[in-house]
Amino acid sequence: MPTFTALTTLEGKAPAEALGEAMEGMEPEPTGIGVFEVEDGSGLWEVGGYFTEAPDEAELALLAAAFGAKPFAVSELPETDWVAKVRRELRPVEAGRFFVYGSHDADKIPEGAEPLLIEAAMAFGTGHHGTTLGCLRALDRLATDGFVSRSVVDVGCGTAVLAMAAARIWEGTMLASDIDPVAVEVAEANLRANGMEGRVECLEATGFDHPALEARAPFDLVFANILKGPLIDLAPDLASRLAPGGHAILSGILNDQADEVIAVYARNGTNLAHREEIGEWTTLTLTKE
Amino acid sequence: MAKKLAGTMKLQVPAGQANPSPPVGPALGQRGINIMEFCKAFNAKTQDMEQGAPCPTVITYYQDKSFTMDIKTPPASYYLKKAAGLKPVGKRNRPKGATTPGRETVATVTAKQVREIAEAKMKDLNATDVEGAMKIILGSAKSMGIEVK
Repeated sequence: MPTFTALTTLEGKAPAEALGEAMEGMEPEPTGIGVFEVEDGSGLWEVGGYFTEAPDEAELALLAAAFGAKPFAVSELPETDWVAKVRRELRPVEAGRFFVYGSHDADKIPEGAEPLLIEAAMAFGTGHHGTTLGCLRALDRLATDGFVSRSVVDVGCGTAVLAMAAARIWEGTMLASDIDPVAVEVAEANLRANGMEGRVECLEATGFDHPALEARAPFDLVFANILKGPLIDLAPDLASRLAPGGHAILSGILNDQADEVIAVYARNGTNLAHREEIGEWTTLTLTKE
Repeated sequence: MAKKLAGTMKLQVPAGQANPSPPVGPALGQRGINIMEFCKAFNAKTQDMEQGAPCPTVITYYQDKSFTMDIKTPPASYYLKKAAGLKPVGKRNRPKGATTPGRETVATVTAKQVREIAEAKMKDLNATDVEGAMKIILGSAKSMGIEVK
């Protein structure tokens, strides 16, 4: 079955979403509509329609004019094995001793690596992002320096890849929590897929607000790969639940936000031990006095 | 996790029957989203629905290729055409409404059927009660040339 696409760009999220909605009324109707931010800092948004027959170009021209968008570019997509293409793009991620891979790359695990099977699916934390990669590298660095943790928590765990990585190299039961119940379900599925049931306890919680998290504190390693705002809000709670000499690995921080986060955590008695920038994202390793 | 939004898309996907053919394959594949994981999750979430019913699905995806999905109920027009017994026509084998709605009546449905449709679509409609939802469905029926008896 042929697939036609009609793509345009315009400024602003709201006009882009409105144009996407207007395209739903086209005849022939699109089978899919996408609204995407163009990630080049231009403020432009791309709006695209997918059709199984050639779209009405006159109608597209009217829509573009009505919403102040550039003229639509219409093309027929070549026949492509999209599943194979995606699998090629979702390559394994190597972070120190850790090897994060999807099931399609199960035959590529290097000898001696700590493997973590994570499908790119319904929770954040596939390794294909500078924040997760930075956290895994920070964990690898701490372990290489001889640090051994006995109580680990991953706050905002997503796939629970970080808690599982800790469980791969240290003994005991790690904790992983997320505010999103879907992420908790995905995390538990990932534990089963990796044969790590019982090594990580997954909880639905906001921050440290859970009896199990209270009972297990203080921790000697806390992961928090969230975003700057929640990290700053969490600083007093996180610092108070960190054991003296314990570490916090924080990410989800844009490079130009890192100094602010470092300052807030320093006021709470946790000081910078290491920072790494990967692309636009910074990962911090902090140590409690 | 630091969920950095990369984009959203809205696709019409048949309940329980998502597969890599268009629009799912090209739309997700062009963005590097894991097509098979999407299909698996979508089909699991829609397994108790009427198989093949078109579900508008909003997919939000993030910079690390993870995604979430919000599956809506099938459009009111789908339910109305089905209730009215309109025969599928055209390339995509879909029932057709009136070409001159307001002046042409192509079929009829009962008030009971309108209530059933309103109840089925309640969660996606901007209505506080079933009566409000029924008014929205009645509006859709009128615009399609379907009379309510």
